[in-house]
Amino acid sequence: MQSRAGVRCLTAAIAVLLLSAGLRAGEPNAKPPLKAEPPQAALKTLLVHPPQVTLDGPRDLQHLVVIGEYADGRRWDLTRTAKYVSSAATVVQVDATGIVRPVSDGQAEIKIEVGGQSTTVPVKVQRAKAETAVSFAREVVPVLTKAGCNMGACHGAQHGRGGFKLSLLGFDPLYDYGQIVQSAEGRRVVLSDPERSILLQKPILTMEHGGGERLVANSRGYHFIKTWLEDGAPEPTAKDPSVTALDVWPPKRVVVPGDQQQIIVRATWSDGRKEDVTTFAQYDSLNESVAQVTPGGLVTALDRGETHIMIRYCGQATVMQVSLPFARVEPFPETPRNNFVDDKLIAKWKDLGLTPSGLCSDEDFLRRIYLDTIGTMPSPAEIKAFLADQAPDKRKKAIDAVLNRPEFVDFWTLKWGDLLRIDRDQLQEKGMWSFFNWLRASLRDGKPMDEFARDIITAEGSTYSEGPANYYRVGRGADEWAETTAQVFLGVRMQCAKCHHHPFEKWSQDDYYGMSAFFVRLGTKNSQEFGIFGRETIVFLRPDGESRNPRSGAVIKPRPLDGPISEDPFDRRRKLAEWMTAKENAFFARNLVNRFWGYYMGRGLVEPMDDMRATNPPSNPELLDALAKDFVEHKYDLKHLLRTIMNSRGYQLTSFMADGNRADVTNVHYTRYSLKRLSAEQLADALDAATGTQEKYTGLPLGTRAIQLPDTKVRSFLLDVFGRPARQITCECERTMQPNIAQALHLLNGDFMNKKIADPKGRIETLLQKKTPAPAIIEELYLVTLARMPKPEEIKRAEGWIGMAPSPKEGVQDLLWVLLNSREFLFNH
Amino acid sequence: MRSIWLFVFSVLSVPLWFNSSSAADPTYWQDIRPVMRKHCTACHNEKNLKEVEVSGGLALDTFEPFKPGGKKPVVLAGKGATSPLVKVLLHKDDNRRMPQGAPALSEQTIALIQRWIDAGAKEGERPVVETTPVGPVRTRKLDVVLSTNAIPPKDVLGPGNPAKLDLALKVGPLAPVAAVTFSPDGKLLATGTYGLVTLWDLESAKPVKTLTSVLGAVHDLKFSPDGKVLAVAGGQPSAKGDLRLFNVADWTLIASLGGHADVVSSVAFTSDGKRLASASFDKTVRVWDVTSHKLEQTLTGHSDFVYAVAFSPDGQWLASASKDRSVKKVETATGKSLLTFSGMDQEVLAVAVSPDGQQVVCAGADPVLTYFNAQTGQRIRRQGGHGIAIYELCFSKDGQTFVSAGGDRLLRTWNTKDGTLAKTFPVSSIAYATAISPNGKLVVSGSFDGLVRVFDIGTTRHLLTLLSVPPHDDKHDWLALTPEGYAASSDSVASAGQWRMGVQAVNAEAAWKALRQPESVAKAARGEALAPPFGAKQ
Repeated sequence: MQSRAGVRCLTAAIAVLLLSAGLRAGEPNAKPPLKAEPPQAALKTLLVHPPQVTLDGPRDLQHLVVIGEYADGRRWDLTRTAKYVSSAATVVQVDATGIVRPVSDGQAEIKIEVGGQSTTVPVKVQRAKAETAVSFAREVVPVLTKAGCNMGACHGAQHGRGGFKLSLLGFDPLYDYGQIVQSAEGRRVVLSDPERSILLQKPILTMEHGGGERLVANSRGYHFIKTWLEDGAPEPTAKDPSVTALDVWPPKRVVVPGDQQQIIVRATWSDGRKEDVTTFAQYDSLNESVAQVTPGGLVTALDRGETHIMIRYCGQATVMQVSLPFARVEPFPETPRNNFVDDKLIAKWKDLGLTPSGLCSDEDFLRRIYLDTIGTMPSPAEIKAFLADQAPDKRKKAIDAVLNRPEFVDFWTLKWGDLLRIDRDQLQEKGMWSFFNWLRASLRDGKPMDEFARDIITAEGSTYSEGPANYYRVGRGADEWAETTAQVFLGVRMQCAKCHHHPFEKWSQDDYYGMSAFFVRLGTKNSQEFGIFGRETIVFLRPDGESRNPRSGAVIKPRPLDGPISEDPFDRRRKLAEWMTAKENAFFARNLVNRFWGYYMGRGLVEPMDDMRATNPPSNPELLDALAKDFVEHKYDLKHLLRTIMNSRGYQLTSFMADGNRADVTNVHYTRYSLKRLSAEQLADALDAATGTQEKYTGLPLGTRAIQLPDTKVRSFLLDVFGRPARQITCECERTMQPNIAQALHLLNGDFMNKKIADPKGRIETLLQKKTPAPAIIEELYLVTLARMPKPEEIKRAEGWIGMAPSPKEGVQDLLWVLLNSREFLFNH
Repeated sequence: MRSIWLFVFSVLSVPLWFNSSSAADPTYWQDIRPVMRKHCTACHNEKNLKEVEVSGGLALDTFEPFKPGGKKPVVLAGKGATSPLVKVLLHKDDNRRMPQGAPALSEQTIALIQRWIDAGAKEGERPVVETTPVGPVRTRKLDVVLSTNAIPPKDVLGPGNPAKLDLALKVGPLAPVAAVTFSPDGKLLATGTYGLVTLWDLESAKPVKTLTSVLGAVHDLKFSPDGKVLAVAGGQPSAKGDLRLFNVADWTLIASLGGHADVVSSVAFTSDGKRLASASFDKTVRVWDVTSHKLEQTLTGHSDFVYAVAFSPDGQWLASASKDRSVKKVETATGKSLLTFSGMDQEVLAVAVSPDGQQVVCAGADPVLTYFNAQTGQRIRRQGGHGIAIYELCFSKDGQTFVSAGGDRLLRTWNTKDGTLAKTFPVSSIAYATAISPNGKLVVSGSFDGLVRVFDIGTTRHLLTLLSVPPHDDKHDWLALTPEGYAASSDSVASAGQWRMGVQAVNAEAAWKALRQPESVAKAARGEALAPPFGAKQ
């Protein structure tokens, strides 16, 4: 066997090439020109934002943005070409870039002229000469944040930089104030002569600075800090306002490559003040290859596709959508649809100029729904029956049938086992079985997902007799339970907010400890006296206990994300579960439908699937909303959701690219089916099925399949090497689909495969013993691996290989080995 | 083959093209300014121009001094080797070579400067810097408000309800006072703030001298035990330490001890006055010979800012406190590390050795005081403190008590024997510095609000508040104010200061007339009791 490994490698390499010729990789896109042509049609109207301006205080200003609407329907940013004139320069000034600044109190107008069109913006100026002290929290911290002083790589690091430490991204102004003004005998500032402060001299590089030039001398930010020092560096107070909302304009733009768009950002403060924060907001493009953004908020469109600009300011975050249609498809072709999922997909395709690939073959379809729904390959008999069926609704029927298969319970118990981290090391064996069996029962009974979640959240009692109570043995303590609950059931990652405000989200420490407060009265103890088994853990409720913000020490009342304070005298978790599974909850249903959509479609509408936040918007928000609404309307019925997804035409598209969607290289918009490598368990069972063998898993009866394993501690090199998760962290990312060399070697060269292929009770031995003719063997091997009939030329070629082999047996073994190493087998397509 | 040649040609042609172009000549903006900023402009800048002791009357933070035809040419265009700038960088006498008290510039850097001058010392293209107009520039000063207990009689000061008088001076914001010390004879009190040392005569409660030729903030001040020398420690943060010795007899500069690369945070004399130790944010402690000004030791045992240094009474060893959360005991003569006092959870900002040499007390960002046995290094106790950062510690001469200055805006005195709290003195601002007078009667604070407060240790009575503004145009504004309301001050303070009750202004002339009584202020400084002003009953 060993000596033939090399030969096999070579044959495999060739065969893999032959078989996989159709399995595709994205072609590199030609770069579009970077200069967009302005519209040639007549300019019809000017859109100006904001439509009126109020400037309040001497340091206030407002950026204006001017967009032209043209006769051909195009829009074009005219902000930098328009002419701006103030009607009263003694009241308000406007510069060539459209920035409006106060001069003295009063009212005036800014006249905007461009391309023969004109419009005016009324401006009101108040308190222009007021001696208002610079606010540290409202005016200084944003400057430091924008300059990057307090970012994680600089002074925001855990131990600071160069002896100077600031709170990460400026979320703790009081701490920053102490560091800047008081620590090290006040070395960083010279109140009596502000410009001598190293706080100013270093970032403008008057003095050497490890972080380089961060501020421009005499810029607006520099002026804010300097004026604050001149004011005697007033301290932040508890009464300082915080930002409650950010508004970005324009909120979305459809552009062409090379287009530019200035955006403006206005913040609403908790004291009611609204102001332009365009200068100090931070901008990041979520996909730099589609659009870039300057620190000043000027977006440049680069390549076709869709992305968002993330905008952050003082603990709030929002996005602006940038769409660059892949093509102009006019008129958009009549596109068949099966259900509402397709309507939403088609609407997006229309917007972006994408057209879908065709429908997949019946063979691909059957293999696909089997693998996706029950983690199992269809048998040759099932394939043949399906292919023979002439009923027009046979796909629909096959979907209903696969949803009712017993393996459905196995496969989704496995998935939920990952998410809930069922594991004997954490739960002890009895706890593991208890949780596992409860999970199986819930899925078998078709328990609605809201009830399922409520059962888990409110579980208590013995971990041996109450399956879901084990949820509280996986994590330890209220904080971890809150984090896990938020991530699993709401798709929200709260971990950052434990120690500091979430950098890309609005979640603050108070939000974190508000969630934690639901679990703070929950305890676990080892008990002899309560349980009938002994040694189990009891999850119980204490009558009191409070969650506290570790920084301020303040008691934080239980409050769900974006929800009201929800106290419950008996068990606070009831209120959380109620809130979570209420019909109007914005998180729960969206999280679940996004995950299941992602499992089936190879990519979540929000990706990563368990990182749902304002700054990580879905690729098709309407579809996500519609799926969630439908899921709620159907009482959180998981099978209904899966049926809806599988019945959609979008799910049933072929995985081959078509000219109309080649440009969407990563298939963000589902114009074809996304290739998915078989998961570790799918692969292990598929190998067993194809070779006619049965892997024996330690401690479990023979016949137990990989998708039936209760946890991931059951020893299997194959499962580990193909990315089975350790179930130690609550993250979809723990199950890795990354390819590695060990995977290839294990399947190509390993003893493992040779043994299975040559198993004396295996498929090949059985076929040969029955003296099956070669074409029939070839057909069966194709069916058990690729779930399709071999093409005539494939049969011919395979017969040739078998004929060339030293013996027919070895030839057949080689054929199976080649098929098992083909990408067509290893992928769900 | 052809493509390979093309490739080789294109790679080679790039540097060739650059070499043949004059764009390769160094320019001021491109090459020289960064060097000046890194090595020279901490002292040689426009703002220091008048402080000749610091800047030598030369500012290098603009292109001006490098232009041809100046009075004091720095460069001679085309003559790199003979230009004063290059010569001073290469000077063989370490005391005259620049940068002063710092390592010489690298050969490459000097060669670059020389090349720049040789090529004509061109200014080059100033990089385009976008600046936003920022509206009118303000040149206002903030009120510094000092409160008193004086209640003016109604008939004297006009309408309104009588209330305690405040004195508001438009001199703010003031830089913190981070250093205070008494002369050994107790007659002088030296206080240090940004760019200024003020020497107060305690008999008359008046300043007798201001020293302004100091670089940056003054972080520490110490008189030599014979009272003849005043050591002033400070510097430009993260650029240059400044340690100067002044002759107390005529206030001339005796020496400037260079070498620290960052602010000198603390300074201490041995009791025989022969040695001086300086601690710096550059992580080192240096030991100097006071007479010869020679550097004897550079101690590099700390891994972070060194905040404080103190000698044992016999001068055999010193203790240094650092941000690295430790205090180290080092043998003065050899620089050998003897002990490390550790166990503090946060940075250590202050250290003091008891006059009997038996105890080392340290404090810092930890809310408590830590006492060590100086000989064994064992911790005696962790006790007391301010509940918040402590910035400075000082023992009384007899060793019975010591004082701590804290972030809780108090001075606290402690009984050395058992660590119990003796007394508290309200400072009403974060206290950065403290000192006890040699006779043990007075304790002073220097604080974040830029004021100095003098207290009677025995009665805890607040005797005086002192304020000294950096002089400009040879005018020195100062004020000494008692809580009763009596004031001694420079004339301009007396004419510009506003007396008011709350927000209500009062008749300034009448108030000043009743309250400007230097004699009463001097009495207060001596600890004598004062009658309330305006003839009111006590």
